Amino acid sequence: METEMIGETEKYWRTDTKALVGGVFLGIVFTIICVLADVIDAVLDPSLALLGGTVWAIFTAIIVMTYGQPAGIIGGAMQALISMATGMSPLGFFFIFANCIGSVVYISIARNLSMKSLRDYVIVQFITSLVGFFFVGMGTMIVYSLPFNVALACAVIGVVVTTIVAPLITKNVVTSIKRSGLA
Amino acid sequence: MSLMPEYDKNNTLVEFIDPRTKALWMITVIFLSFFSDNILEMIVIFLLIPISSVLLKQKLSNYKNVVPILAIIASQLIVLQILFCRQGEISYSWWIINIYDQALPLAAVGIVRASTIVLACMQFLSLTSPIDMQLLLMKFKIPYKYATLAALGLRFMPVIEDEFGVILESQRARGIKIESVWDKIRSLPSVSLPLLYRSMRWSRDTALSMELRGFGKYPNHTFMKSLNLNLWDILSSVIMTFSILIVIIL
Repeated sequence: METEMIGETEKYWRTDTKALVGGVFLGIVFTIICVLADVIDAVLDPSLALLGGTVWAIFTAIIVMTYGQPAGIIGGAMQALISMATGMSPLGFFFIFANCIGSVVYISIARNLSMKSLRDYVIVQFITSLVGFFFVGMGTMIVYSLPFNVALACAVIGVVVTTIVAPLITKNVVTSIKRSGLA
Repeated sequence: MSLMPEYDKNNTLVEFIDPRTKALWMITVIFLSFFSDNILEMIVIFLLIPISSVLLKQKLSNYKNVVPILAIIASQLIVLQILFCRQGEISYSWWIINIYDQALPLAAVGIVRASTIVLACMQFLSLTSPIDMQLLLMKFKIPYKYATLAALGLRFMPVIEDEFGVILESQRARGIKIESVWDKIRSLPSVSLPLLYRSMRWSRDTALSMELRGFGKYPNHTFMKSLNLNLWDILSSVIMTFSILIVIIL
């Protein structure tokens, strides 16, 4: 019925049921892993949320590279709304923008690159992290009433860490998913 | 421990209220909390959530899971404001650390605002069933194909949570240590990747079964239930909208 053969040019825009449902399911997995990462972050260094940020970067990339859009927006919105509703993070409102706009930015750049080398993943991740951490930084200033310099320092560290760590994992996972034929 | 707040389907009082009114209540509380800088006002706004829950005969134990998380956030905020706040006069100085007198009031504002956002969202989810959520989204002209996904997410969240628990236990049984923080960081790929792959397999099967039931074949979908605003909903919605407008104007 709805499942269709997807050409190379259409792989980043998929409205078939498999992609939409996949976006929802990966959004839930994203939320559950984020809970674990945030608990670890809270014990290690609460202000930076390095592990949580890395999980965000990895899952944003995996969802859009596997199911394209609008699954990326659906998965991101799902994670943000559940994290707000479960008390995982009061920044959940800002996660909506970070996740949704982040996933749109990721795919907008990824569709212009071959996404076969690690360099492409690093470039895309760097720009996506800048956008994502801009919104999270705004959230820390508004919700937590943190000073601008602290929010900026946390955001810069977050961008650097996610740009270094996330592409390595993302590339391996996306490649293995494509090989397995699960997407 | 389940992440999602429990929806009580036997509560007729909750069923009586339209989901649009519930959504407007959540938006009003969060909006008022954002636009208030007075800590006393913010505490009053925060207290509206448990009070309304009691009036709606909801269990306050719904919120107990979130208390430890909010306590962690509160402690983080106090430490961060003490270390980095530069507003007001210096009230205490030691070595390179200067504590300003506005640090703790700002931390209090952050804690109450964060708690209000979290509890308002939790209350909305505990008041709204997955089908009501779907109907609510459809009332806002979101196509049923996309509105169904919100309900699907709410339904599958506990299932995938349980699966995560099973994966954790099976990895422990295989000898992977998941005790200390360092163990948890090391074991993160070994628990998250099986969950990711398993969820993808489930999503493929779910999508197939949905399509076999005709999902997406027709542009419209029929439901056993429909949303209708009653007098109480209209009255309370007018009051909430009015209160938001007053805050914006003042």
